[in-house]
Amino acid sequence: MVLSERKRGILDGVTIAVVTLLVSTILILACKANPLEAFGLFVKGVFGTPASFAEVFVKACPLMLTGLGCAVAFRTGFFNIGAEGQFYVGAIAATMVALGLPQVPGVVRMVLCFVAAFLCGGIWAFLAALLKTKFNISEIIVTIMLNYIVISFLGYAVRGFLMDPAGNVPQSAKLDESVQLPNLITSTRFHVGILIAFVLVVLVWFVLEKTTLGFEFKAVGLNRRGAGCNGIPVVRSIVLSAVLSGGLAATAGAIEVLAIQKKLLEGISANCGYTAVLIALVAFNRPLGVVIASLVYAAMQVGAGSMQRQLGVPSAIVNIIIGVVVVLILGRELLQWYQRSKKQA
Amino acid sequence: MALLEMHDICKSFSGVYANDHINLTVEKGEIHALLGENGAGKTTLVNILFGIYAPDSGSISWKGQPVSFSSPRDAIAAGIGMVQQHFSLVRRMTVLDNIILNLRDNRFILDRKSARARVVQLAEKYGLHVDPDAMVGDLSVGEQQRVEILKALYRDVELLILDEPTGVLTPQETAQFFDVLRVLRREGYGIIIITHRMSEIMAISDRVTILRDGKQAAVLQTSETTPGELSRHMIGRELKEGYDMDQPAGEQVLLELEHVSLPVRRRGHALHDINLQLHQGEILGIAGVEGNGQKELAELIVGIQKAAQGTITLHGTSVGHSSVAQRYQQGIVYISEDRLQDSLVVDMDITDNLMLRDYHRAPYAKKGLLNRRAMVQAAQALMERFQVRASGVSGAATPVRLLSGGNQQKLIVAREVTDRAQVVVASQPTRGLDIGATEFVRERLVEQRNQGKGVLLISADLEEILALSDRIAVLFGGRIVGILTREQATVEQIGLLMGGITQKEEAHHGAQ
Amino acid sequence: MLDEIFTLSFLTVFLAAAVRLAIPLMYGGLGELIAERAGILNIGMEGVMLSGAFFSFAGAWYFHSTAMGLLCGMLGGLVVSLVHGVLTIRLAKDQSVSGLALNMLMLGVTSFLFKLMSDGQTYQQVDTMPEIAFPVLSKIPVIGEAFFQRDLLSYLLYVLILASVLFFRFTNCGLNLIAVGEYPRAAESAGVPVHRYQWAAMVCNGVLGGIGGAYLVLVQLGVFTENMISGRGYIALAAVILGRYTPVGVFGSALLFGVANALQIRLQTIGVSISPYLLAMLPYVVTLLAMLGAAGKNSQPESMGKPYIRGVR
Repeated sequence: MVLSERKRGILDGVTIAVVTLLVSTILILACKANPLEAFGLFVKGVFGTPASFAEVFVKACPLMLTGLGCAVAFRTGFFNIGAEGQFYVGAIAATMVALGLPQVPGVVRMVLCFVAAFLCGGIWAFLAALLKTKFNISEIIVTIMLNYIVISFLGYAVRGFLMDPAGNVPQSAKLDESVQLPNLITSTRFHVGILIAFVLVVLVWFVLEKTTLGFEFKAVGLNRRGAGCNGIPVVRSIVLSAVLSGGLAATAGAIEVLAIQKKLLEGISANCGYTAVLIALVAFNRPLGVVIASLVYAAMQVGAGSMQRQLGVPSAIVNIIIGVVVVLILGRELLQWYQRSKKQA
Repeated sequence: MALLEMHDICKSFSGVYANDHINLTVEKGEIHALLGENGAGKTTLVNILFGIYAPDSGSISWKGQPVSFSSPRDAIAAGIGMVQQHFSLVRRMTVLDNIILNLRDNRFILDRKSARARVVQLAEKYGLHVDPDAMVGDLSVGEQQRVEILKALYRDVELLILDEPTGVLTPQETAQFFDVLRVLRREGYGIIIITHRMSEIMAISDRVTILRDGKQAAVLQTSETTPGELSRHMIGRELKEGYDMDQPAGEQVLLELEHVSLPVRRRGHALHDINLQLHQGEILGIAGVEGNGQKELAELIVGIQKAAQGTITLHGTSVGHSSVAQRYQQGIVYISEDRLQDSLVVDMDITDNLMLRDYHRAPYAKKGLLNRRAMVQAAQALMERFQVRASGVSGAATPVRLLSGGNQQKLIVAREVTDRAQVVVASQPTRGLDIGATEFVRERLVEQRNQGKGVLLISADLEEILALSDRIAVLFGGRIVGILTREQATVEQIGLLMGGITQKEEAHHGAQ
Repeated sequence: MLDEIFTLSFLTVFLAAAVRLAIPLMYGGLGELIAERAGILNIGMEGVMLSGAFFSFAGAWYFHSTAMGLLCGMLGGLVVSLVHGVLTIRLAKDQSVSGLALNMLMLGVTSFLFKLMSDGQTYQQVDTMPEIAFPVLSKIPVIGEAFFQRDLLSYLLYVLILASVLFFRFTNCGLNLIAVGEYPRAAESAGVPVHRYQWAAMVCNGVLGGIGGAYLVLVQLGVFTENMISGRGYIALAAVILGRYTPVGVFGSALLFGVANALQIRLQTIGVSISPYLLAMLPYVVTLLAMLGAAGKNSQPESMGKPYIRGVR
């Protein structure tokens, strides 16, 4: 049986889906829960009410932006594991602008928040790009170190210069309403930031697929040396993709602060910066793929949340599943049963 | 009883026969040449012998016993050694460590002291002088080859396979190397030497087996044959003689390098005080043994590396500080020796690869936005004109990874050799290509010359240089050691220059 | 304040803390070193150590035995490294991608299993290993207490570091392993079974990384918490780069991180008026600066990170 690449891709997808489902069933059984009941709760948790369905988008929004950021960086072969830190840089910058310029009118201040977040996130990623292009230091380790540094800094900030003077909890003062991103649908948390995320996805898709910059990113990522020998600006491409990537992740941080938390505190990324790396990988660095993967992942989170509440199935199951999916994508040759049966025949 | 008999060997890769019923017999104390073009099946055959590939059918007998080797380990254990074309040496280990790597009689703890003594003794006996404590990465190519042979001898081989051993040597080093082979023959070693150089076969071998398109074309006694006969069996037709150079080279200087130098870097070669002039309508051949600065010279002109000193001018204006893209814009184009790494992005499709230079120019892009349709149309036109054949139905959307070497090279030529080209820097442009593609590439270069453009032809293949060049410069140790016109040039003279012996020194030696 | 820092007793306590904090990094770093020397980059060291930590805890808890805990920790680390081996050796996949996926997977798996285990109960603790003072050596001022008044696993580590130095320098297998990481084709043509060596290296990688994780549980804390490795696996990777791919170098650079970390803790306890959160950056900043300092001196095995496929040039 000779298969076209397309058919093989579909068969792989089906196989991976089946294995993933199997794994989740086993995990649920391990918690002494009824899988059917659990899946039922899962579906109800996602589609049960408009609020719960909107929650999928709320959860997907930071993943989409950080995942998009990772995808952009991976295009040029810049292995940015720093979305987590860049997210926090954005969150801190947005909070500082929102709280620090009370005299500036709301909408202008909101825009300034985003500009500051994007710039600071970009600069944070630029550091790693600089070390990679100038000194050939692995960006993987550098971005991870930068993550820990900014997370420590956040701990310092919310206990120091950004701490709410009125309280004694490690968090900033609440942002005034004029800079908060408004909700679009009442009684849900569906906010304007989600629209911003979708707009950015389309923009990035356009840049990657339709512009000379995207062409350069692609060539540099697939063969850095060859691109340089043909006169494509390699360093510029890597640095730009890194900055863009950091800016996108930072935008996610800003949205989280301005739309969801309405103040700065620790742990608000919920590790989305690390999940984003896997989302980009699962999506093969394609913007549309990032959207789909983020929504699916967010739906799993929401569904798993309701499973956890009702049946005590730990929501860490979602981490396991995305890990399994990436491992399966990498190891899909081991799964190609339809090819092995061909050999036997 | 023959030392080695390979009988009726067949091996196919995805349906194409690389070896089609091949026989090969080697006696003790025999130097047996294996002759054939690239892709004739020589390497496949010795890889089967060495246990790297398993044959589809056929048998091997070694010293009268039927054997089958499933890995190089088995072959080495039986007494067969191979010196690959690309040396199998670890650059960041010493000569001694490379030689004793994974010896069968190594104990768990290495005994470097006695190993060292034996290496020194072997080196003395066969004239293979090399410092056992030197790092391999610091050695010259000739020295590295000696290490490879020592490594095989240390393992008590009785049959030595040498894959294109002289490709990287100067004529003088080659002569020395042949002396070593003669000593080995006298000592009773069997030797298989893979080569495509007729003169060397005539000089050193006892018998020749000739392969063509995976089939055995002939087995001849060297003493009873001629280069012409070998060539007929190898190619199946006579070599094309000259090329159609309709007028003499122009006078006007197109590209000029003055006092250009490049310091040594990690893993590179230095260039010292290079002075060259390339005229309109001229092919300037750069001869020399590989690794004497050819790649650096090409990259300096194209702009991939920047010179530390000196000036590079095109049409009288300096381009030394311009980027690769700017120089391309001004007409300096590049056919690099490393197709897959330097010239192509093999995971992109044909269209994208054809656009690597011009993707940001009209009509392919306007204000940073790509015009896909224009790109694909142009790509299809170029594919047709340059006879780039993509297997399968995807046409211009085929990933370049899937093309044959010849088609990949045609694609590069199609992209680089355009109307914009003024100076074509062609580095090893026909290496690894079949005859058809080789001819095609050479004809394009001559065509450029005849249109009044300049071609800098860098090649390790002396026949190619002599056939195509108007003038020939020889590069040795990062210096231009001599420039000859085609009429002046003889193989001997260029050979001496390639070995670093200039006329002055020769005269000097003569006077003594 | 400075005189407070430089008293003998302060230095003794400080160095002891530094070594204590460095030992898990040394285990992880040594495991990573062996893998990278064989050409396999395992960014999943974080996951290996996390797995080692969790399973050592689970083993010690269920079997009420520290020895069983250690064994389970080693196996836990081993399994992760073997999955990495399947993906990168057998299937020749991208080593960075595989490592990152395994980190995420193990974060999920250990959190999930820990939640199942701790069902209802909030606090569980296992016995930690006792300190054993080394006769004579432990009496040396300052360094005696730091290095020789420790637990069995620390002493095992010293032996392993010494053994690996001798292994790389003087043994046939050590030479083969270096050749595999530098230029696998050369190794193969000398008859070295490249993939077998890489598998062996991955076994060492998993077992040593597993011990590194187990050390946190079985020696230092006695408990498991979610994501408790919190970046130590990545610092172990940095220690290998800094240590120029030598066992002694890894030992030294891991110690440097330990010192940075201990300094941070010490400065807090003696009441230096810098926010602890700013001081917490110190180890990471040191890592970055040290990597910057080591830049340009390339000692990375030449074929590291590139999959080796037999018979392909």
